[in-house]
Amino acid sequence: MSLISVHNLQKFYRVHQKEPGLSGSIKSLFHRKYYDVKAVDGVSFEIGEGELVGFIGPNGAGKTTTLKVLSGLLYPTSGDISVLGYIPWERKPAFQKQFSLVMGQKNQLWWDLPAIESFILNKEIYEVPDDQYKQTLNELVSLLEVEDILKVQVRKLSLGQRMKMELIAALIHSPKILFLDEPTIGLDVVMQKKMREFIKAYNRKFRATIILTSHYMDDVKELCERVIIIDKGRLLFDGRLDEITRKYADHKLISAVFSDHITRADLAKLGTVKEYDLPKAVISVKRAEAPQIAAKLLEKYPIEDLNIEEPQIEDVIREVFTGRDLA
Amino acid sequence: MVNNISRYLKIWFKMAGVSMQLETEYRSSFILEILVEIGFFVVTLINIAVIYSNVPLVVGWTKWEAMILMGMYMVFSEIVLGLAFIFNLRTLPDKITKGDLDLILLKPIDSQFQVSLWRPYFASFPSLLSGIVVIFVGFAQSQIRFNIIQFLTFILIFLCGLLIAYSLGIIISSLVFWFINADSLPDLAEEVIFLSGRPSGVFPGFWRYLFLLIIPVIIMVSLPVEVLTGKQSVLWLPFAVIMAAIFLFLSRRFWLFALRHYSSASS
Amino acid sequence: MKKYMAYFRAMITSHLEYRGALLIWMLIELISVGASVFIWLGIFSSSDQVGTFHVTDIISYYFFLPIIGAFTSASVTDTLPREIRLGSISAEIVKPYNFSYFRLAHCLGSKITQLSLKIPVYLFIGFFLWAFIQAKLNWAMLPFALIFVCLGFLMHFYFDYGLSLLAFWVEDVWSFGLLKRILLLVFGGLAFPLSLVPKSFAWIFDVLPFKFIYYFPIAILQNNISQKEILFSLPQILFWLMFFYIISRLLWSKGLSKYGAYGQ
Repeated sequence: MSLISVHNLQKFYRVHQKEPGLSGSIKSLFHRKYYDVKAVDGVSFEIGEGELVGFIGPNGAGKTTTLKVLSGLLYPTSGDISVLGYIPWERKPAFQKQFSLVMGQKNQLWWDLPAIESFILNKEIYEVPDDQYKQTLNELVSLLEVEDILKVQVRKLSLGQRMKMELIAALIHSPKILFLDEPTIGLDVVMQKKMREFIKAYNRKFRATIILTSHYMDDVKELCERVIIIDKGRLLFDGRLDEITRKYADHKLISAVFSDHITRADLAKLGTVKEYDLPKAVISVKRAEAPQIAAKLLEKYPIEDLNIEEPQIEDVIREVFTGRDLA
Repeated sequence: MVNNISRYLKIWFKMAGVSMQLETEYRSSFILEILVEIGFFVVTLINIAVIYSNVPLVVGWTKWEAMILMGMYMVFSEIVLGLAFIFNLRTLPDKITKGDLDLILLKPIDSQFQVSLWRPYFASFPSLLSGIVVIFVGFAQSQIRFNIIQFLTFILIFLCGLLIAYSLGIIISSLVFWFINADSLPDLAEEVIFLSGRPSGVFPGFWRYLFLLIIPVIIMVSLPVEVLTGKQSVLWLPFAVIMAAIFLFLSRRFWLFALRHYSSASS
Repeated sequence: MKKYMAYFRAMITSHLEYRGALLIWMLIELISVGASVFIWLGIFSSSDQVGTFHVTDIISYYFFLPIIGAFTSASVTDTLPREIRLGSISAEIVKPYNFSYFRLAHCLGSKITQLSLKIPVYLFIGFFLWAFIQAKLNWAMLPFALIFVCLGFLMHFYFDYGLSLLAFWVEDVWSFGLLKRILLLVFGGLAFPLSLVPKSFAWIFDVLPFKFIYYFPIAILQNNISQKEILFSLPQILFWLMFFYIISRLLWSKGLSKYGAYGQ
């Protein structure tokens, strides 16, 4: 029995169209035109307990919409959805006490009070028993290393510290499912890394099911064993990360370090030139031909080092979205 | 059920504590706000003084009865504004456009409670006190007396009035779900509720029925005062109770209806 | 000048988007005026004449009130104080134009949009109340009323603008607008026509500038102000206009140096 079960989820919106300029504004006062936007168009998947799943796709792909339906914020246009055995949009308190949705950098902490006050408030709201609260709080605080700033006013904290406090506030009720919408957006490289480490640790330690959406490849590469690719409201792929490359990439990359000069034109004869920065160069060739072309290179040119590599996962996914051929 | 009520009360008291802490944090603005409240109070007194310097009676109300009405209106409006509007309903349009309403919907606490009763405002307390002072002065000078039955009926009708004002606030403010740019809808609700500060006699014919049955502002302040001063009989009580029940019910249904619209149409 | 015009036009476009909001504001105004009318009719129920006013006079007074108000209103305190506290005026300060003129253009832009929506409604209502309004109107005084309306707006604008500039020094920005509303309620002629004030206190209302924002133009049209009074009031309003303008400039330069020092 899977924790999250989604069957043929569809979510359409009516949006009104307006022409630009002053006359357009006046016209829209009297007559409005509408059209349908298909945010999610027939998505199905099942997620089990303890999984760490990544939803990836470009902006506007329908990832956030899917999360909002799963957390009960939106009614789907159609589809069978069940989370923890509940229908999300009925918003039953028993259901709400078991999950948490963290959206980007939205904050729920009181700006002028110490973070601990917000935690206590959430404790009351989620009816967390005293001892469970204490235990969870201690675990989270040590995991995030924020013991000494618990009593500091939130507005006096740095962005990184605030982010950690927001996480604690969102997790103080030990949710079984954690929905993270763009958790690393707007963070610098160091904080992104820390966030990812925390998510991984939380998943391991608390055995919570975690679903995150992102359009950053690094989030996915570091965290997710399982990846669901969504674009234009459709599910394009659901499986392990390395399967994507095997399934979608029909080429490989040959990278070589040359000990003598080779012209770009000459290289282009053998394959698509991806990088030309002598002594290093990278070309893209069809999968099947890779060994032959590698051999030809070794034969014709003085080479110091040669590697046959899988293409970057980012490129693969980008091509999956645009549906273009990779070479 | 009882467990639930005590839980909500507990949360409300916690929020009240937080609010008091935050409000007194900036002492200068707290003082300024109190000055503003006193300002409105003084202005209303001047208003009455100027009017009554020209005429002895307004729709049968003497100067002191007008003062009692004014005092009652101050108490009433400060309670309604402080509990339901200032930090709550007034922020609803903003919460919707910023997406903070989603944070509210995720929590296992009734959304209407979070949106309308969450955080009380306390700087209105001095005005509330001055209102009570004015009421005392009005009674002292006018020498009107009332018995215990009238007093109890008055309290109950006053409470019904509060519930009706709250319900009207919810209904009107909820319209913001359809008129996204109309962030002054809560102000409209307040303006409607402010009509309650007039003696019921100023509303002729059709208007009287309108403000008694459809938009029952008369029940809020004028009616309880009229019962207390003997202008109206205590038999108005059942009517007030029924109206309060009806409006509470309507506001609840409307709020849930508005939320359904939000959850289907938003993105 | 062109840049102000372009901004002006953009403001109108964006304001038309907010048709829902405008409608609500009109409704609020209507209710508030309506409530006053009810009270005054109640006051007149016991006596036919109050002060120099008959029933018809008071109705026409409250009919003109929102119209004059639409022309003389200024709502700089709604937005500018917060912008100063948040530091969002930084972008505008470095631009090559006079800040107050810019705000003035902004104010005028939104005013024109509001008027374009309000005037048809007022004309409609005026149609029904025509018998009352005709009662005591002196159309010959219209040009004078217009002069005072324009001056009244400018004076109000600079008063409001100066008040907003206090945000450079004071944290609380809410209360300013409220304080102003209180002053205008009583001293501007909103709560009651100023001619009803008992003689012993009338001088206070006379000396203060707020009468020019609501009461004065209406009183001119209702023939309550003699030619002589108009003549004497002209320098008075000009004085206040200059006064608020100069104070604003002072506050602006003082405030800007403080602002720069903190680099909010």
